[in-house]
Amino acid sequence: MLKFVVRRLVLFVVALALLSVVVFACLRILPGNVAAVMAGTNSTPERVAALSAQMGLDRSYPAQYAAWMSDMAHGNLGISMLTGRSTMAETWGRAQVTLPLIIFGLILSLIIGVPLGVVGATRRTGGLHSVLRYVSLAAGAVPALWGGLLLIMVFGQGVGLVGIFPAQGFPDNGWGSPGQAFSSLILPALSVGIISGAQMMRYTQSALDGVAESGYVTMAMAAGSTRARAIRTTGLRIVLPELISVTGLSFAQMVTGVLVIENLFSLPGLASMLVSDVGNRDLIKVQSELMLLAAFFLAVGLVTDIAHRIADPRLRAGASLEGGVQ
Amino acid sequence: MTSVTPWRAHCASAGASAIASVRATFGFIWRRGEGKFSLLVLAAWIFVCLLAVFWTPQPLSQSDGYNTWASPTPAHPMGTDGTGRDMLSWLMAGSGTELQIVVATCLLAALIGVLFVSFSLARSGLVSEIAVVITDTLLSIPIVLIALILAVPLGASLLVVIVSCGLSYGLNLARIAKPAASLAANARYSEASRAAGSSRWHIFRAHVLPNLIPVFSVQLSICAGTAILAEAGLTYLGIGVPAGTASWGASLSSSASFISIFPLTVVWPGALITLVVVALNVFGDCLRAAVDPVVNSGLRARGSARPHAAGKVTAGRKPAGEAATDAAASDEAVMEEEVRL
Repeated sequence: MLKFVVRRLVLFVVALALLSVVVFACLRILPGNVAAVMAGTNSTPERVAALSAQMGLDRSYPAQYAAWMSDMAHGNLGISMLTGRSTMAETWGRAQVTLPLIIFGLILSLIIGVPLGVVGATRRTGGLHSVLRYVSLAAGAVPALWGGLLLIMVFGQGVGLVGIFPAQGFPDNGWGSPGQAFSSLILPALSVGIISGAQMMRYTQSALDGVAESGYVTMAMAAGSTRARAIRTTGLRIVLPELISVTGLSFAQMVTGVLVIENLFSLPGLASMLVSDVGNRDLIKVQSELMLLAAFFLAVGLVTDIAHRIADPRLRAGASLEGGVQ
Repeated sequence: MTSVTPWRAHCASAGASAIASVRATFGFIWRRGEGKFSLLVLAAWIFVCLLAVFWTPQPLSQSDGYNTWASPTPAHPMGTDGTGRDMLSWLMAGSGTELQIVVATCLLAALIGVLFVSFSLARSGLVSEIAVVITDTLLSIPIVLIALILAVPLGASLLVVIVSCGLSYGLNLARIAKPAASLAANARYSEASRAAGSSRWHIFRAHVLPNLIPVFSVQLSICAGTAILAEAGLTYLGIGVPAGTASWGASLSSSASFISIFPLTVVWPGALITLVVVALNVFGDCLRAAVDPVVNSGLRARGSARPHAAGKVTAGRKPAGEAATDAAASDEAVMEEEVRL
């Protein structure tokens, strides 16, 4: 187990280094130099030179890269060239909307997807089975933007047929008024949760279908359990590691939808900041915030892999076997 | 197992059997109600793409300034958008953009998938390790983040959508196809070929690649649907299809801001995207059954050699370092195969 964690940590660091090179390179292959782009089209050469000296862009690429890496390692992500505020503070402020939305959406998708997947796997025939199949197929194919729009049309205050939830915006004082903040996240989270829940349902059902044909369920049935009960208890435990992995992966897959939904519901989250920074060519900030997010998602992947390992006793046995051989 | 027929004759028969198995596969899909639905929708999509090259109900450049946000009328069967452009014509033109994105994304994903599968089978430990690092860790990077990185130098362009989706799905494909690949690489026929002096490259091309076709075709049809959804999302965020290019995502985004005033306009592009993505997913589901010789007797009757494992929809992400378990699983499968032989 320890060997696995160490190996996985090494992979994490290698991937992080790899990504940092890619991000750095992508920002340097811009036509023209970064300072010229940031200074604007009608700025004097002196202004461009001053700006590039100020940002340290007049140094060689390896030197710039090394300086950036050492700043990042010290937790210094630089400041925005437009607002002058620190990148870390701005990103953290925005993440306070985006992260709860992702987590809220993920919880909803698990609440919706896993039980329905179990029902789909235990009822092999009949009306309910096909209804669930069609619903999951359709719901999984809805573009996040359209799903959010439909929810607004049904539930949005002032717009919808039954206006019960705020359709747009976030309280100005953020989580200072928790009730309001929470209720303004309900529709956005539902939009992502339903779409991701439909996929979660298909994963759960397909994983359980695989296990249902295995000896485990037959064994449980031989011991006196019904098929449905065997799938619910034995089957779910066996597919748990796989579900953990899928959940971790959904975390990454949901992000595109989450950013779209944020913009649609005018939530002050990461989406609007990232898109406007890329559009404004606030490049030093973009470089650091993209790296920060990449590190975050790599860390989620790392945690998922370790959780998968812990949840699967067979792999633990395998690991000790590996250690024994050496 | 190695045939003694002359090479040319062998090729001819291989070609014929490939056509036969394609026919058996599509026949199987067509005979299912759902499969028929998906094939019809996909055929209609391709037909509209071709049609829109030559003809759309209204010229794309024409905007009817007096009829913005019009409700459906005979002249504009799906109404018009905020600048008075005919929604139907723009959706028809958008279907071509969508097809380009899907085809290019799938080709790129297949290329990256094959590349990384071949890396993971490489003799050099270092190469396969690097392949594992890339597939297993970069998979947790969201598509939108890759797209944002690419959008800095490229701006909003089709290329951003294609490369970010193709890269992400390609890595996923490599991960899903790896067990089937290592199974084929360690199977008896590969061993026999190796013993007869074939190079690793020849074995990969002649014995491993054909075994990847089912997994790839199933997964790619699902990728195609996801690429359409990703296009819609990225275009809405302003880093997808550039302004002025017709695409379903662009049509959806342009009407999204006016939802409260003109709710009807937004129905069409969204419903269209959902319909096509459902068709692609259903097609993938049917294909999975159709390439499985246990389910599709058409393949079995012809005795065409079909691979061991068609790609499952889920195949939860495997942590790095689980290669040992994979190898054990493939050993088991190889043993099973020996028993059958």
